[in-house]
Amino acid sequence: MIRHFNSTGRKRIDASHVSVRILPAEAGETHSFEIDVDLADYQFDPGAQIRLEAWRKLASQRWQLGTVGEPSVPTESERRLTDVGQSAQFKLVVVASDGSGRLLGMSTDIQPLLPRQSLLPLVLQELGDEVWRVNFGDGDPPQLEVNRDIDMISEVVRSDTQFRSLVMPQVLRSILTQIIVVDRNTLDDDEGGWWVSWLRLAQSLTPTATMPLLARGEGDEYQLREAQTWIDTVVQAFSLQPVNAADAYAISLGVSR
Amino acid sequence: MTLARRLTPEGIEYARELLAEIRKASPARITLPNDLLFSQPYSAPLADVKIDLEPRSFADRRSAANYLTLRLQAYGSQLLEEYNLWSWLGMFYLPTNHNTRGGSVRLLKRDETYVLHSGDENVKRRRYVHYLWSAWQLQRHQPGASYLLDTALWDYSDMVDRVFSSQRVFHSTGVVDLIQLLYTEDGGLKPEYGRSAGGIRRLLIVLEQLERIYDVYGMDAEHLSDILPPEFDRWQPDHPRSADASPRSPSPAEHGVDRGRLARIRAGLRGR
Repeated sequence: MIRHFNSTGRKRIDASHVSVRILPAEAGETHSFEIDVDLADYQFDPGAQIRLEAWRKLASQRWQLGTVGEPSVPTESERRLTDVGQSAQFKLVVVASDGSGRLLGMSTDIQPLLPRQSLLPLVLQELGDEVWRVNFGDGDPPQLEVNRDIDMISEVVRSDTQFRSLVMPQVLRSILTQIIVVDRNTLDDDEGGWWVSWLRLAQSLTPTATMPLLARGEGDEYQLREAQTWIDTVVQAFSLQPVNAADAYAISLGVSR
Repeated sequence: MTLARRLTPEGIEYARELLAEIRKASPARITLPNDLLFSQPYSAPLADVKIDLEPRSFADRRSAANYLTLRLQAYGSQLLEEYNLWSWLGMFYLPTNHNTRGGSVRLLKRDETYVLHSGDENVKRRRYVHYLWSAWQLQRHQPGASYLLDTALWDYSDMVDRVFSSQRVFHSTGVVDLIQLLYTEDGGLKPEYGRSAGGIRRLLIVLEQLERIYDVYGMDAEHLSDILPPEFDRWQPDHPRSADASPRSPSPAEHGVDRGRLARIRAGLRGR
């Protein structure tokens, strides 16, 4: 039997005593993180230094978190993941206070909690003269790409009434068309995928309408028209609630409806 | 003065084609088409950033870093991930900053030495080989690393490559200084610093092993030097190095090394 000995004398810090949470980031901006550390169980020297490292393949980034007796957290801008992506793992070490660099404790690898994924990530992109488009990539989940050359475009997408009332229904229409008509995916697909969340959203908007089912490789005109009608119904419901598109657009223009 | 811009994806593609052409033709000088740097669709103005620059050649990484630090100081770390700007800078300064041999231009093989693409998932790693981004950041994190900073922008020797290809080394508290302490003398690299016993390649492996016991990348050069095994003694300052790579070189104490001078050199590193 192979036995492993820890001959270094350092303590193993359990991952349950360190939690790292990646914070959501604005489109095109770098993620930051929050950290909670509880070292009370380990009886380290209060002067021992706490250091945190994020790593992924050859990339890494480090932070000083003060001492065991006086922990400190870097500012939010210092906590930005400038050298690693949000898929990085983290490791916490406690280092002797005598300057020797000796490790007194080391955590197991810490998997950070990732921010809840948006159904439709916003991506700033070079779009030439286009303002927006939906990118389906190569079978990837759709992304809403907007023209990065337009000032404040992220803010416009999030909160501008005109943009949302004009664009978002069309975004939903193109995504449902891709799912139902182009890819011919359904909720019953064993493989499941990014489209499941979108079909569930559509179902919640029109619970009484029957979701179309187009067989792959067939081009039945009637079925295609039925599918188009269902998509129109969903987009109509979406335009009413939550977007309230027509009223919101009329108000933004200062006209009545 | 010229206002800095950014390369668009089309511009980056165009730049890569131009780099390939230059490598193939090895011309006597580089003349870039104006539309790459100053016209749509290949480049575009920067949003909210105004940087005035002049075309010039840089004697070494330090002078390039000093110039860029001055010109970019209003924006600082905000520009760390403006890769399209760095691509534009890489091409803007290329005609006046490149290696020549036998009267012909010699470009480095990796495109990312000159242009970076924000859409590249490995861009955070690859930016360390960009000849201007790396000089700018090296000056900030390792201002005392003269063996790296006082070298030409196109010098990617084994030593430079070892530091630039490891972010942990690049950002370490003392490893870059330790390398300087062990493998340089009189402003130059010691002979056989690479592959020979206790050379830099071996050092990086040993440091990884020592990580099980020490916070290697957070330690200063003096403490790192103290924990190195005897195979590195022959590289310590003032140690009478032996040409043969015996498995166990004598320690500084066995050789009666002037510990006082060693301490002064180390103190010099710490004092920077």
